[in-house]
Amino acid sequence: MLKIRDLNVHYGGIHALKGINLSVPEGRIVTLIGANGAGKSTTLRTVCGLVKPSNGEISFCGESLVGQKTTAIIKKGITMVPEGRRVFPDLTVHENLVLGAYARHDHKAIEEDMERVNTLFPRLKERRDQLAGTLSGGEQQMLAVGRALMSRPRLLMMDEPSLGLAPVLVQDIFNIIHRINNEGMTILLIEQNAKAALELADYGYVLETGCVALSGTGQELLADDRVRKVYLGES
Amino acid sequence: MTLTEFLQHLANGISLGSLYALIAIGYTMVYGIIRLVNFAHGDLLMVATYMAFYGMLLFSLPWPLVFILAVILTTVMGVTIERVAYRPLRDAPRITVLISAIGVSFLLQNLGLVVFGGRSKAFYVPPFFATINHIGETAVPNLVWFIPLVTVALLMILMHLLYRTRIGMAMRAVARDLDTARLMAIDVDQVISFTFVVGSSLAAVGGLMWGLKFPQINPLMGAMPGLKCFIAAVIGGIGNISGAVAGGFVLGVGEILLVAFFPDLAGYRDAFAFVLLILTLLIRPTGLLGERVAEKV
Repeated sequence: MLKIRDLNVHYGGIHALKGINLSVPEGRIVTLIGANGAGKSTTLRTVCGLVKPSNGEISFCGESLVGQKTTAIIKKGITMVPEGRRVFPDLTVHENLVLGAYARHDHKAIEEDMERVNTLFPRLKERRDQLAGTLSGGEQQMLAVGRALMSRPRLLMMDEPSLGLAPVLVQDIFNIIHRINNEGMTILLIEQNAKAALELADYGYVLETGCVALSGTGQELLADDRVRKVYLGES
Repeated sequence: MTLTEFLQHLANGISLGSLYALIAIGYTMVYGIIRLVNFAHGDLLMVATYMAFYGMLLFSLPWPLVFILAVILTTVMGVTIERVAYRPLRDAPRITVLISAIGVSFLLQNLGLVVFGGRSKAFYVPPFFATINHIGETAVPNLVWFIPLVTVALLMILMHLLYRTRIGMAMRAVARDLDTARLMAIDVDQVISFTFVVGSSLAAVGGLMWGLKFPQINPLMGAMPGLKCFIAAVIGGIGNISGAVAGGFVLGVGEILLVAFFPDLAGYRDAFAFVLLILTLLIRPTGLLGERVAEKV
């Protein structure tokens, strides 16, 4: 569904991505793991058009995304839950969700999706008219995911959804990712929590300083010695 | 000072204050959305009054029609300025855009000198605005209550726009977080253009009322009100619309009452704004209603 070929990105004098290749098949969960600064977020931001690549090719369902505006890319059915949630704090929960569907005009379907998000996250329904900035971290993360779903994406990219959340909430978030995937959503996930991510994912890529160092199915990577040492903290 | 005199001054202060408020909103909205002090904003006042002046002089159109046309043309000009002078610098450092804004301001002023000539011209004040009403002992020309009325009406429309419409919601989102707004498939350029539509049209209305209040117009007339209204926006907390309104009133009422109570200081009238600015920056740099902006790490 999403294919990245030989992607290079320069970022304020730094060669952030050095020829990355990866692909995300439809209906699967693919995860990117790696240390801070390995280029995980840059990869996602480049797919969204927020960062311009120096060269390389990104295609989504056969269409090239390189050089397209973010607005156009989102309209093709890609969305991203940004790192740090980035909900609009001085807008209400409801307004945040409505903004998620900003590009859409199919009012009936938007209502359905709003229902669906409310079923998925009952807390958001309770707090519909509250300012998003007053929500707890976990609730904000749910709002960020709900908001992303409101664009009715075909590919959902998530940048560290578990960052800064209590362990019990981390489990919730992973359950939700699993559930959304079961409903047919293709997911590209970045995680610090490598173990949980690899257990959930169909396929994983390990990024090191802008290169793909390793790739394999979640199980293969979990069993890999280097991954166990460096990313799972086992000796 | 008698009560009547005081009320008279107060009415003038509120009237001037609401005019400042109207113009300050344009500064604060543009700042809120792209973090730019649009120095050309004040000069749009001048553009609007000259358009109205020539509209009446050359085409002898009725004044309400001329005013509407002047607002529309000034708005087109404001949006064009953004398109030509600010948009190409969207990813440039902020200081670059600021210099571009100062450049546009100089350009408009000097273009005004070349095209309109440097000599002041008398702005036509329709008799309606000059008619004086007596409320008790207080004499109030129609213009004095007309200005706050227009400001309140426009403010209500603006609030409706910001909090009850789609584009308003998009504006608030863009003001808060540009990249995330892009991820919502919001066309950021379009939203910024629209912000300039709103800001420029308010500046145009403000300019016309300025012309009615001080009916001597010249190509540099926008500079001082521009500066003062920018100060009003800073006093209120730049980026915050209610703040701009509050700042405008504080400045307008303060300025008039200062002169009323201390007639000797009349010559320092314009200095009052700058003193207030310095005090604000010393005591409460975020302004009356401004929030502490934490730099994101």
